[in-house]
Amino acid sequence: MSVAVLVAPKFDSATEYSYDWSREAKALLEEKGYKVIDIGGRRVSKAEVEEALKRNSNVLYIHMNHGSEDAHWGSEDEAVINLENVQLLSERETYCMNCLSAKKLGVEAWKDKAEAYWGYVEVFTFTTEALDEFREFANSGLKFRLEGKTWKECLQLAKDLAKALAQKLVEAGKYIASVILQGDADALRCYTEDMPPTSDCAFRRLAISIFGPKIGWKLPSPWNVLKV
Amino acid sequence: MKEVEIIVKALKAEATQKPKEIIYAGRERFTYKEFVAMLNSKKLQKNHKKLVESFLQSARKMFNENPTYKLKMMQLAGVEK
Repeated sequence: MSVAVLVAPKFDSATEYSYDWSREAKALLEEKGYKVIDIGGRRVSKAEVEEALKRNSNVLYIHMNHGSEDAHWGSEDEAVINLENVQLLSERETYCMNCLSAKKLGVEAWKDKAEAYWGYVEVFTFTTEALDEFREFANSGLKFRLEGKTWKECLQLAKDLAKALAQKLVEAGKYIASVILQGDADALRCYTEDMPPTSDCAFRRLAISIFGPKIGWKLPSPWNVLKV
Repeated sequence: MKEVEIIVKALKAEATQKPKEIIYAGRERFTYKEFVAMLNSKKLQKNHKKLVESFLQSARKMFNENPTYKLKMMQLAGVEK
């Protein structure tokens, strides 16, 4: 039986929604025969996530909660995954509905040989006016993956879905919600072996173009060397 | 009227019609009215400035690429086509 580790803490009003959306993710997994290790509905500690991931190497990991450039959060002040334990994501697929984590943590996971990292490079934003549409979009990549699509196909399908949902919201007179949904779709990334991360940094882009993504992402930036 | 001015005017009108709706952006929450007020504010915290820039970038993209959205924005802003 396939296993998935689903981490969906709940500790403020925003995470009440992300926890609610995680129930759909859990149901999708169970429909496909997954045994779901469900850690959430409350504050979650780093230790319990680490234990679940160590006991279940190479299985799908899903995080639905607050994120930041370098962390997945389990409570207001405790990261469950960050740059200290990012190696727990190596050789596994990670699916996130959190803010910003594809910006740095996702890149580090990819460098550490994660099979896939799905996440956002900007703040994930939603409105109470279109909860169904945001939930559908947030869970869509997982749904497509469980249908057997490649991650590349999942990314394209999720972006196409977002465009259709944004159009539906425009037609319903929900203009602010439609712009926010489109913005989330623009910030969505998926890193795999054949879809390496890209960079805004001129040095990094040059290094990647010369040496390829595997070596180009590992070369130390001259700005960091100068800081030392 | 510039496209950004049309968008902000239209979204202000939408925000006025929907006083109870909330935007969640990471750990922060705003009413539509609070959020739209930030769109043409010059005094914003760094994280709010980034949020507003991203929103306006998406709004302008939709304005230029989605004829229905553009038409609705112009109608809400009271701008003749």
